[in-house]
Amino acid sequence: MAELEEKPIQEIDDLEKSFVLADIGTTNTTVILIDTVDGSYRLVACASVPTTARLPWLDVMTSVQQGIGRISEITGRKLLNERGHLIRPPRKDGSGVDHFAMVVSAPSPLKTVLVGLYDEMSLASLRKALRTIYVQEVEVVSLADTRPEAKQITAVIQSRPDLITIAGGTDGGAEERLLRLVEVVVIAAMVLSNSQLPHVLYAGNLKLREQVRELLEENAHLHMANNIRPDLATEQLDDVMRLAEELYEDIKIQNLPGIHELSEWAGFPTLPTARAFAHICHYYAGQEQRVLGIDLGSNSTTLVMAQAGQVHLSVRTDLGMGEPMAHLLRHTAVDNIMRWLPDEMDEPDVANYLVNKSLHPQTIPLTEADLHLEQAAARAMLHCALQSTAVEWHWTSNGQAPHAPAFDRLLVHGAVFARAPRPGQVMLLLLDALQPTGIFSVGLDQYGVLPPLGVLAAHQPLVVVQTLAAGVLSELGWVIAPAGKGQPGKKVLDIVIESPTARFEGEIEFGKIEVFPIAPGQEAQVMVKPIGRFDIGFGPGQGKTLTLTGGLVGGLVIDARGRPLTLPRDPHDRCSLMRKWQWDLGG
Amino acid sequence: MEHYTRTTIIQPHMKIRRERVLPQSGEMIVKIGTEVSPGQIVARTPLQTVFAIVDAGQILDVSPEKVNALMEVENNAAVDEGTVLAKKKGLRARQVLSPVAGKLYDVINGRIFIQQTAEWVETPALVSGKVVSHVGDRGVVIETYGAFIQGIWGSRKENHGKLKIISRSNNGFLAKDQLTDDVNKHILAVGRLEHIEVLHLAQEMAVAGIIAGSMTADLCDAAYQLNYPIILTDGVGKQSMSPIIFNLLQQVEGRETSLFANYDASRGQRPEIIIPEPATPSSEAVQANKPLQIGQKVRLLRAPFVGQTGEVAEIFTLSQLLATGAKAPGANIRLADGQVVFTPFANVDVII
Repeated sequence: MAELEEKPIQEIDDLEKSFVLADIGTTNTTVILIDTVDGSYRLVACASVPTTARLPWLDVMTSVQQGIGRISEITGRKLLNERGHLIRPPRKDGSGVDHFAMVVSAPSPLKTVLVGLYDEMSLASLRKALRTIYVQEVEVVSLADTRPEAKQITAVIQSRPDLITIAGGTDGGAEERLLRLVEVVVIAAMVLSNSQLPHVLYAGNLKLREQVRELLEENAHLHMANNIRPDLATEQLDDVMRLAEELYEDIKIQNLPGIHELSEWAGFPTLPTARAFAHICHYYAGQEQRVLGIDLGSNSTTLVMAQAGQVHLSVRTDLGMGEPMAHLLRHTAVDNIMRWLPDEMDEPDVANYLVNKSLHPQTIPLTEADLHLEQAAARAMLHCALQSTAVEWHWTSNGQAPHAPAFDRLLVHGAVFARAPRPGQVMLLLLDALQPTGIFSVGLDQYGVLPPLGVLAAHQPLVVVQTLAAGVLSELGWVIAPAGKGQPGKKVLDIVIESPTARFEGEIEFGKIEVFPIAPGQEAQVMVKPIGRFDIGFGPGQGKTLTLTGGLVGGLVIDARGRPLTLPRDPHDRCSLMRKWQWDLGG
Repeated sequence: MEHYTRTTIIQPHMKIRRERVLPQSGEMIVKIGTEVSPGQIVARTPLQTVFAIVDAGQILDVSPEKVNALMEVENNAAVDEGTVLAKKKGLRARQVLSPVAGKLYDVINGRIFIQQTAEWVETPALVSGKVVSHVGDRGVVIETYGAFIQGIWGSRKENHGKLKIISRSNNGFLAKDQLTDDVNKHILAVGRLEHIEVLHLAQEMAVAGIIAGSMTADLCDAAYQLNYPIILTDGVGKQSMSPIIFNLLQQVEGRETSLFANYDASRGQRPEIIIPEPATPSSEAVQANKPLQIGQKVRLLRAPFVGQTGEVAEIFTLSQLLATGAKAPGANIRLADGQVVFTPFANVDVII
């Protein structure tokens, strides 16, 4: 495995530096140019091109060069020299930039074997920690595994993992059972080491550390982490998360074809895209309290829940709008996709679409039917991700339908959102998939800037702050979604909207979703009063006066359809309702 | 401005290089320069994944740390079934016998791990040609010349056989009554696959493999369980086989054909169909990593024109409005019927 020498992070003393940032995804590479305009950092240009990590190119440099070339065309500013290298520092003729940085999610995920004592304890914690990076679970060995040990050894070897993780046993707790599982790993590692030393991460009973080291150090790259469950009540994920991320960078990112030359350009450490996106969500959380971030990518789905001082990150590599689409029906029934279609469709056609989309992840829908199907699949995908994350992070209690905790800001990133023809479609997709309650605003990352800005968050906060403040997000608008059950047609809340130019009074009935007009960018005083036990986040029946700004959807969205959403059983009625909701939101 | 799109190689004659690699390090059976046939083994490695475990501590009634001192066989030594692995002498003499033939792999915490005598994992050439290099100690590169078709989906198996065109048209589907005795050991080419029973019958008839334009998603799941490879050339659903591909297969009917339906999609590999022929002076490899050009032949990947072929008439760098209301950069494509349609670059598949 090639190693890069450590490069010092470049310190930027002065304002008025320029940046080219790249987000190298599995299917598409986005390149953005940030520079100062009138003394403040702005997004100047962006471009999206196909990623060239795979055959027939096997060189990510090509896609980055393409993206930079596109930006040069847009801006008229020469950024690449004759040999295709980024011009740095800027020249007197205005060509070039000061800095380059990148985020990466293009490599295939880390194939990981999980070894732990109990599913609901050590394995659950391992999964939670590992799901902060791009991993694919290829094999699980635990006490619940009924296979003979010899079969477990065979299974681990045949899975050809990039990483084997071991957890289990409280500190000072029982040792023998965990040691038995470690022995499986020892033998598997000895066989695997004939080709290449496997990476093993141990995060179990501290008392066994030295024994594990003696057993494994000759036949594995061994990494030690704090016990992920030092006692029954405590979960320590940070060490495993940190090591897993480092291993993803070492094993996957550094072996991406063409990455080394790009790393020579980079003035900042390259980050996995999910981590960079989490940084940006955390930045917003500093201002706006609670942020839910969603990145629905080609090969993964990332959920981030951030509030000041705390970030929960969950990356699912088995859910994505590209290759993982072929397996979506392993996670959800086809009915859970078809329920969102405004036109009736046969089940086999839905299944065929999913596989074809996985074979051609880069393609764009050209018909309304294909577009609706893609957005319906996105709803199902997001809902699956939310369900599992809600359980992992204990957002919901037993028996409750899984849902995210209340949030103030929803940030969304991903081609299925950015390429949607109408903002109302994106809004409806999110509300259907997440079924949130409370009051929140929705920001759409139309230009793909959030993850690449995230790479600068720790090093150049001013660049990030000013670029975001200049308005790079497409503000879809505010949503009020009351919690509570009601009868269709019965009033849910009263609303009064006062803007400098108009006053509007209205009400909304249960079962409806409506847009109350506030012009995009215009501020308005909104007085909202729920009826009876309906709750908008301040207690049952408690109203509030808020200052809200209109968004691209055309105003304030009030979603009084109830939670969980109940759709008609009859397909014809259901399609009709979906079409109505789309119409109501301008989709 | 250059624009890169998806490409599919469909060539009647070209120079082809194919890696044939083992899952791990192993032994190269053939030397560089050797001419090989499809069934010839080119590399092999012992399957080292099967173990037997004996709890010597328990059998000898000693604590685990005492077992090493009682071992009669060293690590890495060959053992037979019944070989004495460890022995405790004295009044309560006991011994541990090997349950299998193999190699004594290690003793850990009083337990003896025996790696069972390995079966060989052998990699056949699967295509006739010449070995031109080794891939480290994991395999060989075989060079051949002939027709080459990249597929879209494959069922993760490999095989070879003589090619037999079953369908009269590129839209014909495989019917039960077409699976007669003469399909045995043949690679069949059909427009579409529609029925699971036909796939099972084909397995009973010992078909070597199937090339089809398409089949439905439920059949894809079933296909993984079959013992022969299936390669789809045009997609999943009910698409016909592209006329370009169907015509090419008709030209090479009767020739030895190799199906490589086991591929690594994470590297961008595709399933491949190779039909070797003698080299001609003009045989060259094909470069697939070139930007889109006016006049290139293309296939369209999404409705409403899915599967249709045409020619690039005009290239737009600036985004154009689509019927859905979205915008994307793309090209005007002149279809075979003369119609000119705008298609985003993302939905274009250049035929090389």
